[in-house]
Amino acid sequence: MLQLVRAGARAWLRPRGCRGLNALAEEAVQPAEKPEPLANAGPQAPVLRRCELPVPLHRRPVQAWVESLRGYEQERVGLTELHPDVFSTAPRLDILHQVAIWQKNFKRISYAKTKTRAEVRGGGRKPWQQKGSGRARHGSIRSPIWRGGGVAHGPRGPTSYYYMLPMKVRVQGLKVALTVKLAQDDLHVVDSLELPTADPQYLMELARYRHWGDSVLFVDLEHDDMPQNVVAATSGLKTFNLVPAVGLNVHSMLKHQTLVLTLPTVAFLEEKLLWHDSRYTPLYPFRLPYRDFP
Amino acid sequence: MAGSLSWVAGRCLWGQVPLACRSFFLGFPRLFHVRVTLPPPKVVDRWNEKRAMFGVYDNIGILGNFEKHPKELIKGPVWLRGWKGNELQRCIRKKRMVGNRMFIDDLHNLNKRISFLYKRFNRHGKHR
Repeated sequence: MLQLVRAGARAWLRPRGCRGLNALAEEAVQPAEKPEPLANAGPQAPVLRRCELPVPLHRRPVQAWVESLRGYEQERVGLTELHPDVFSTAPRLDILHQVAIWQKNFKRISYAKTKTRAEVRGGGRKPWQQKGSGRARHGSIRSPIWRGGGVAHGPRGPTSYYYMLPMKVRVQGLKVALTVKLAQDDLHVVDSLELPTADPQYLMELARYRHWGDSVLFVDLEHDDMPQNVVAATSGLKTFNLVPAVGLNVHSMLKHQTLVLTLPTVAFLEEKLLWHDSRYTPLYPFRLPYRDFP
Repeated sequence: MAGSLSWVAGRCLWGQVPLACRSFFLGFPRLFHVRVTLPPPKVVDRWNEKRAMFGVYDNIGILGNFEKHPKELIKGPVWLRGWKGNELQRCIRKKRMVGNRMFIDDLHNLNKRISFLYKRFNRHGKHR
């Protein structure tokens, strides 16, 4: 009995990544026999997730703990496998920079405008005759060398700075950002975003207890299915923000120190980002119907 | 503008000074004031709603089944949404899309600008 308990304790304390999910499942029975001082009915079974999409043969999935937001100490509620081509790809900082700068600039429209000498009111008549007055020769009082005249090479009209990076570069930017977050221990996977209270203080205390950092980005799957408690708690805080999975982007991931994904979100992201690795080039835009693409 | 100001300053400053001292320059001209103290620091909230949510939904095409394109998120003049061009192209596009509802003076200025830029780009300089 004591040997079983010791083996179970050793299993939980070993660093992640060196035991497979099968071995963990076998020993999951043993921690259940340890006396747990929990108020609710006994310890839960660990949440385990395998990768649904095929993993390349030369690589193994990278693993992460599944945490829970229901209690302060509920880290390591389970274990999930993450696809290596999404969460452990090459750390291309140049692609991150390209995508971040694209996000900053493509929406920019500058409204700076100055009037040229043709648009400034007045200035149609020659101020004095060409010869004989002794003064310098001028053709209009609104030329750029005059006070009150037009600007010669100023900003002209609303200007747009729109451009698009290739779709695969933007996709690779997302993959690199997720990789970097995981590699720097800033990515946390959660089984679901359910909180016991709607108090913003609870979230702040949780983040401080778990050493998450000053700013956290919570990502849920659908906008309509978000639990009320999380919505209320994050709307009261400035640096804790909640976005649906469709709203994930490199700029937000770099702005917030920590990223918290739910398990359905991880599956959604893997499916969406891996599709681009093995797709045909679009003969017509993807928004038009294809036979085999929803 | 600078010439006329120094002319006014000369009249005010040198009116009371006696003739013998007029060759001095009394230090920095009192009219061109520069501040000697730092201004109060500008308080910028890095986490207001706009800055915290910047960039959300930029990948709505990739992650959202391509139902919307990110260029549809851009807010601005109708003739500039999801499009980029040089000044002549912008003027022509504005005239085509919005010209029928512009003010008469603005439309006249736009036409003048288009003809000037056409002649400048196509008849002058190295690239024509």
